[in-house]
Amino acid sequence: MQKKLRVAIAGMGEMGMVRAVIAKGLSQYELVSVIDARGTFARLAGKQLGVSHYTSYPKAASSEEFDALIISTPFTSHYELGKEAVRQGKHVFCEKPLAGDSRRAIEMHRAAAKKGVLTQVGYNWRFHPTFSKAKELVAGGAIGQLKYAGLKVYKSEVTRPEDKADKKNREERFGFYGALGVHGLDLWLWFGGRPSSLSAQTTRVFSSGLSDLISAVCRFDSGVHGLADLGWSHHGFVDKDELTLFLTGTTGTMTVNADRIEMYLEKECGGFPCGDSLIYASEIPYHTEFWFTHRGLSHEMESFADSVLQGKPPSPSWYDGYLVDRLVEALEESGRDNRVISPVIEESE
Amino acid sequence: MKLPKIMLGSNPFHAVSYRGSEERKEFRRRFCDVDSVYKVMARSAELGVTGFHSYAKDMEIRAIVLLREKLGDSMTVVSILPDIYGAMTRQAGEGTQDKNLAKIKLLLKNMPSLISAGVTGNLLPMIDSILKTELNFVKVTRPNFVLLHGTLTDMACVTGQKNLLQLFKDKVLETGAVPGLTTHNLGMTCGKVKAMGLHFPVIEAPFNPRGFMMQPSVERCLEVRRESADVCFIGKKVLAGGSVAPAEGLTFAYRTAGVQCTVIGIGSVSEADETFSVGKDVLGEDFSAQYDIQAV
Repeated sequence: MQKKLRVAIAGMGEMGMVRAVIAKGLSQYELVSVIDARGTFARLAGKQLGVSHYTSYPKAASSEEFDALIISTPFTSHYELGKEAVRQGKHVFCEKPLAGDSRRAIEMHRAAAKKGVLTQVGYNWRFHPTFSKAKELVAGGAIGQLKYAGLKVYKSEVTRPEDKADKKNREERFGFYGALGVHGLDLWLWFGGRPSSLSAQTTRVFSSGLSDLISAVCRFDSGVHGLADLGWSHHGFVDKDELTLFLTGTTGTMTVNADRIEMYLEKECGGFPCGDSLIYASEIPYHTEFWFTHRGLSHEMESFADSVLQGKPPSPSWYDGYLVDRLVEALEESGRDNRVISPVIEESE
Repeated sequence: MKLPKIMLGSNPFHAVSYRGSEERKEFRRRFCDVDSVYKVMARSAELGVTGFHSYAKDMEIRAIVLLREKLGDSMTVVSILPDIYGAMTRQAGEGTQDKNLAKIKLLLKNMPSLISAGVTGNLLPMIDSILKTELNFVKVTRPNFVLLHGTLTDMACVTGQKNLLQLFKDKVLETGAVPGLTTHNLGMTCGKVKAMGLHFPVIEAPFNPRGFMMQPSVERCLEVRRESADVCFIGKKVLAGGSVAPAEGLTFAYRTAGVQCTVIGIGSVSEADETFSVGKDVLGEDFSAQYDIQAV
């Protein structure tokens, strides 16, 4: 009989419910409990999903046997909840951003490493068919040595006066970064490497604590450099987010978004001809036992369960989560002080 | 009820495209009023198409009503419910465009059933109220078939919500239409529905030669199709989001997968001409065939 990963899910908001439904649909998982501080939400979710429900993590942990915790609570609680679960020897999957604070993020990562538990952060765009295919092609040398990685991220929000509920919602969720920006920044780092030097211009429109419009140029430790343009904007499409990577190598270029990969290769590679190619997401094989809402989410959860069940380090790890949190701070610092900075990056161990 | 062999889908009318943001923007500009939607529907009807899908969106519904005036009972309307945000707005009251305000109004309006749901874990009274509103919203189109949206079908199946599916079926039957399901997880759905002791005479699911959205695998979906002789299948995503030519997609759907019907979203009059002309080549005389579907 196939071994299953027994999980509890903390936070039964929209994302927690999606995680729970996917966990019910994937044979690698056994959903044991749901947790939400709001008793009504916990009870309702527990009844609908046919599992036990609790109003706090300690209550669940002391009453139920589970191997891993999925944290889908607001990001401000990730640090405490993550560290508590790690202390108890649970493997942990945590939504993005990992902590929204690099010092806390690296502390979480190191605590998990020390305890020997496996951790993953929810940067699910890495699992989207186009971005994972692009990564595979770049790693396979399709465009030669990568020299440039550009990033454009527009969240599908119109720049209009916001009502208080929206503004509060945005700030509680780490502003624009939490809405979509960190997914783009994670992809930027995934392709580019660690940031070694960057300069940003930032503007606040809605938020008091974080920028809403961010433009930056960055040099990565791999030697790659790139431009990033991010913000709440209507340049994309009102009902759909816009996240595009522009990759230039020594023998080709690639433009990648959720819909397609446009590619120019100087020489044939990986079954793609010399010259122009256009690959739609719908042409890239993507099969999963249970698909729900976003392409990428099911594969992300399959990957976490497979890694834990096989004892392999999951990816993206909490260290990757730390790197994104550190990059956000560096962008904000550079924009605020109007200067080029070389962010100090902590080592993994 | 008669279910036609080939039907017009509605994704482009609400700017859904798998080809990129440029096409989404173009669709949004193109389908900005009832007339623009109606023109594609009317041209498809001229080409011999008698089946029309409609999402619970105002513009599509008004275009379908116009077409009903012209075609009467000779046309078949397949309605997909619910459009989540639209349903929320309708529950909250017309004119509530802001999503957050709609959420608040929705919560206030449904407070008694929400409290009840929180205490008992029973969501059915609230869902009953939403379904009533949504069925009332689409009734002007006189839908012949009403299918449950794939996200809800999949969620209900994987979490074993037999009561929800039964409630949907009962509510649709009360209107005189045939109830059905759409799904993005065909490999799971049919088995789960059967295990719950339920039967839906119509199931709509992706079938295309790329395997796009055919979960968990092309082979399993084809197997489920073969095993389910008592279900009439509508193939969707037949052109794999626009990455397959109509001839290839339709040939796969009808001949390889053996689905009875297909639905194809069409973004312009010229596209309707091209696609349905290919449909006639692939289907021959069967192009105008219809299946007689019993409600239960």
